[in-house]
Amino acid sequence: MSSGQDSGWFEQGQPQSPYAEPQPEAYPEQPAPYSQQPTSYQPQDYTYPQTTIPQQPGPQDWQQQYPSYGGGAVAEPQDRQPHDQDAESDYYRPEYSVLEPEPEPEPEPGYVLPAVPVSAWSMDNSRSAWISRGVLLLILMVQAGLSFRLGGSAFPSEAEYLMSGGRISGLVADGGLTGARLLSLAWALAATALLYGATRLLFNPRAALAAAAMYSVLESTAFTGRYASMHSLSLFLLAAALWLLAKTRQAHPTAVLLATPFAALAPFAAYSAALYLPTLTVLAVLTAYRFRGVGAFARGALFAVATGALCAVGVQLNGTPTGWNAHSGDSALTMLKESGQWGGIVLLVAVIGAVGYAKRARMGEMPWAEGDAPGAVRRAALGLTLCSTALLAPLYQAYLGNGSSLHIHVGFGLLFAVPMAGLGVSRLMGAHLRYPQIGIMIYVAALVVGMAQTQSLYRPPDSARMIGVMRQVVDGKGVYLSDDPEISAYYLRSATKAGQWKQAGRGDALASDVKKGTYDAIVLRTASTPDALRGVKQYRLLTVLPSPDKDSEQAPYRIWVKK
Amino acid sequence: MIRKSVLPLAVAMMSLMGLTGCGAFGDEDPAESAAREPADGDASAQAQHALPYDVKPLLAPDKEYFGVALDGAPTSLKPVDAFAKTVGKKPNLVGSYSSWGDGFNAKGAKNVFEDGSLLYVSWEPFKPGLGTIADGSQDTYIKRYAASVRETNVPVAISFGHEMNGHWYPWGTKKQTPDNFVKAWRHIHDLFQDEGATNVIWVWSPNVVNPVPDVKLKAYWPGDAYVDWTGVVGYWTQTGAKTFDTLYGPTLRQVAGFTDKPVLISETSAEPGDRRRADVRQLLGGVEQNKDVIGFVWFNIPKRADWRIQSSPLALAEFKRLIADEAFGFEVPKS
Repeated sequence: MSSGQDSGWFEQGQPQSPYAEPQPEAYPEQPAPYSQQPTSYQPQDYTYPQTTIPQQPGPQDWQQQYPSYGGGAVAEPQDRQPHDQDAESDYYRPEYSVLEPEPEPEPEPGYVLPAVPVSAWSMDNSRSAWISRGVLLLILMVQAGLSFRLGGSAFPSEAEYLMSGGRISGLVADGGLTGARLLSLAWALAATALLYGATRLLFNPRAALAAAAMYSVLESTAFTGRYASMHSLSLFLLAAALWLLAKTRQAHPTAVLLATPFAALAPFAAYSAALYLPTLTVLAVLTAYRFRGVGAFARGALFAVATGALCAVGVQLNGTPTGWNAHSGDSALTMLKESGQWGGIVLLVAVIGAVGYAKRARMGEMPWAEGDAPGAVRRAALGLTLCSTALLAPLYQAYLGNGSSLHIHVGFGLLFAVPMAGLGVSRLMGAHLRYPQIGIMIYVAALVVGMAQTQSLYRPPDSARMIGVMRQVVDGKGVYLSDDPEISAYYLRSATKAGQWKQAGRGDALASDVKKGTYDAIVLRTASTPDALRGVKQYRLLTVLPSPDKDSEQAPYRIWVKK
Repeated sequence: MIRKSVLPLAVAMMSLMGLTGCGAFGDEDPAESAAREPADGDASAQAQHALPYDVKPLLAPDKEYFGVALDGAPTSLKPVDAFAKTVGKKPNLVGSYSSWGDGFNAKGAKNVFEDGSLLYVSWEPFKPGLGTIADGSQDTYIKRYAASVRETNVPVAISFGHEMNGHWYPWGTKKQTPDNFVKAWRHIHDLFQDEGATNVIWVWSPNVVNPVPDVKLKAYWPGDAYVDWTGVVGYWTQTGAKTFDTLYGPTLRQVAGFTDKPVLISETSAEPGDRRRADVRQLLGGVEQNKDVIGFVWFNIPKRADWRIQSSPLALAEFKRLIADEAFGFEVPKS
């Protein structure tokens, strides 16, 4: 280690020839605590670095700042052959002999906890904010990827949405299914980003990142991000309202009015958003930071009145959104079970977060920054509100017995529970990220479950073969009875008008339609021929089109044409 | 430090996503591309959206079917070619027999179709009885047969349980009821529909009523929706009816009482003897003149009698002369 070949080790004034031999008298000053022969640790030799501040910085500074352990025993090279005495030698061959057995090195510690700089775990600064945004970007990319792995032809409701003609703008119609789905993804990503922002404002960046990560892998998030409908826009509006509530939490109560247009528009995009206006109202009260007491309630009242007024105007202009209270005969138990599967992990973590939050406002990473946090009642109320909101859609739809689009609607409630879940993950990981594996575990579980659920839910009918055949059957005048009139009308929009397609029934309705023979073609998606079409004179079976995907459980399309 | 590495990483991943994303947008919606006319060069799209063979133009053609049943055909077409050489005209319908339990002769059907002809299969339910077929216990076999027919995607005429009004077959009047026959027929037809085997011409083929005048055909009729052609089996014998009208007329008149489906003389020949030349003249003349009759299938197999036309030079000469008429034979369209 202390080879004399390294000129850097020489004291100034020592011979600088590369062939210079180590000078014995230099050894006591050599800074070699391990390779040379410290016999034992001798405290009396210890010198504090402060005592020998060098006048001129140089290689010797190092040795001056560190104690020499040895000092006494020095290796005495034997059979020294000075260079000048053996000019024939090609190169220097050092020889050493150890006079005493080499002692065991000092045991090193397992690890050394570095001194914690004061800047860590501190308040947000610009650098940490940018790091958080970078991580958020990664989360958003994962979300986009999870949505993009879904694909296929249009769902009937997507086709209906696209054919309803400029409900949102001509842009969607021009972009077709691809454009509409991309727009949905854009809203979904924006909603996640707003969710991050809202959670960061309500809690902290770590909880916000965890919330965004949890939300981005939900089944409903990936689904709506790839679903040409207004659900994604509605979620975005709710997220925007939530973010504005958080953003204006310290402002004058009237600032809450900024959030009201978003909140009021959301139900007109998707009626299920109406369920969450009460939640937003409660949050308007609970998030009010500066104006406690009367001010907070004033803020909530202002929000409720303004949103209600805007909704009333919307109903006047646009009519009441339909379908929000349609009863049906679906099993309530099944719906609750499925909702549990879709949102259970997030809700569980959210409850953990809520309990933890109610107990302590902060984890105590920055003892000097304690204080100035919401009180226990407000914390508990916030946790309760956010967690219970996740149950609204499942409970309401279970009450209606209508399971329609529940896998999408659960996402609306989870949007509110996720900030608490983010806090829950942050709390479970502990102060100073002590147990990151817990956070990773929760994320991976949510990711895997979400991916599997999306895969099984996102099954649009494989209509390509049916469309390919019907393209050769239809003309601009015929009327067609179909199980998927919306899909046919959308894809064959250049050949037919939407009005030429009628929804097929079953049983007597179908039998009567068949008997009348008014339709030029009948397209059914059914495992076997319905009785109404067995042995009929008016129609002949044109073809049966099973799904090209062998694993698909989709019933084949059966097409009859008039004889 | 972290910031410096995270941000370029994020940008890199974003651009990667953008690239893969653009790839995914290219042609992600198969139904959208299916809605467009496939390009001429796009053979796979054309094949994928091609309609199954449509038998409709074959049901009532302008010209007469000239059919023949030969030993060895249609698995090999050599007998057909030899027969064509003998009579001077290529038949456009090849008769064959398939016992219940046999698989569908897909190769034969393709051979015949590629030769510009139509395969005619007489499906003979020797076993296990019409009731068993009707009750669904033969569905696996029927579905397999139907799937094979569908996959072949060439036109096939199928005559199930021919001569059901006679007493000489196990599916005939001695052992079965008309009700059973109709049920079995409809059941088979339904299963073919379920499987999507739409390339079948269903031929309901009784024997001429002359030897069994008491058996009323209507009871055996499955219904217009289940049948495409009426087939009539009627041979010319030395002692039997001497004219087209006396041999087939009673049957055709009875059938006309409940359906107006086109009629094919689905199995015929003339017994060798003095009358044979006249019988051939009656048959071909009758087929050509009768508007409802769309053709005949000549049974050219020595079985119980030598029904082969080449066994009587005089009759063969008459056959050659008459069949040369343009009214007989046409190429079965390829699509």
